[in-house]
Amino acid sequence: MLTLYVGDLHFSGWSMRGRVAVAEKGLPVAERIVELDWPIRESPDGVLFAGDGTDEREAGIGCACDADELAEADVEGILEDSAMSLLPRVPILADTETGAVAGDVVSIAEYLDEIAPDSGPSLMGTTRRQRALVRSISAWASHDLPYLREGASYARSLRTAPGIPGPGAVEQARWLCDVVSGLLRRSGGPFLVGDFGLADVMVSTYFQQLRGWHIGIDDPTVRDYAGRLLERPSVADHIDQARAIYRAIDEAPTGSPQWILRHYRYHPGKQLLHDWQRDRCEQLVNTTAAEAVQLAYQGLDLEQITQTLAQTYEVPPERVADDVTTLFARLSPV
Amino acid sequence: MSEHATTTAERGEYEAPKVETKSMISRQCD
Repeated sequence: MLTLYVGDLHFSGWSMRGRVAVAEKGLPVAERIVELDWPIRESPDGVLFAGDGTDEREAGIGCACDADELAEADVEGILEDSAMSLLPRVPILADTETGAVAGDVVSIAEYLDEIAPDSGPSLMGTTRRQRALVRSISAWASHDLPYLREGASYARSLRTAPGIPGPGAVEQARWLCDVVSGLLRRSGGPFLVGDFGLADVMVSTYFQQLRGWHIGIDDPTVRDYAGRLLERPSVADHIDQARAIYRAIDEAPTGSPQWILRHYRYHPGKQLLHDWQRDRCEQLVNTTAAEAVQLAYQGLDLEQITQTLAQTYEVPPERVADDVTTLFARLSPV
Repeated sequence: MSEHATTTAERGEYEAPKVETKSMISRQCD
């Protein structure tokens, strides 16, 4: 049985690559989401930090995740003896049958080709020449485009208004298009090494970034390629699922408790709400705050939350009503 | 009283819901 560990779909571009590779092969795979970016420490002045503050040990390839969150998701205990418990990051593909653990996108693609050479496209290529080329392009796409990842991030590309891309990101987007143009000319298309493969998976996230950040593509050949890539079902389905969290906000009645809370991720263990778009958290300090939030997640409106809390604590609703209104006004993003 | 009913002593007295806003430094992972 294959299990793919990924991060939050609206955060992790590396996870997108893992998901697209797996979807292309069409194999039965269980998916587990390891929530990213929950704070693990707090400074004396109350600022929360998601990382441990050691940039020197931050993942450059793959999205770093919290070792404890990963261990919690690893119910079979397959990852605990692998390198990934030392290098916690996503995506990871684990095979319960063989005990194999592949901890980056290239390793995942190689493993999938190895176990299912006849299922879906050959991700690494069918000839030695193709495989050498795919590995070379994948290494470049993994290592050499940090400005594009940071200045025009995948995560923000999914938002309606991501902002203005950084100048380094725009330059690296031009570089991406130049390289893609050259590769298409050499291969003859329709994809980077001819047939669809890992090289296309690697750049699919970048072309989503260009689209989301409204970075234009001048070369019509590259523009057509980007269209083909983003319309491919494995890629389009992923983007659709990653955007679901924003659609959920729009689908709730504006100003309702559900609309307000859909601007947050909720971590019951830490009693934290995280507004990822404004990078701030609301700590639920007491039981009634946690109960009110739970009731809102169950779909209750302000009046019903008030009545429920009043009954629970055997106090008059009038005593609770203003408190509930104040709570959700405070949590409201506008 | 049912055996599942929560007493005031167990539940605590009603308090106004309280939250504390905190800024956060994300990892900027991708």
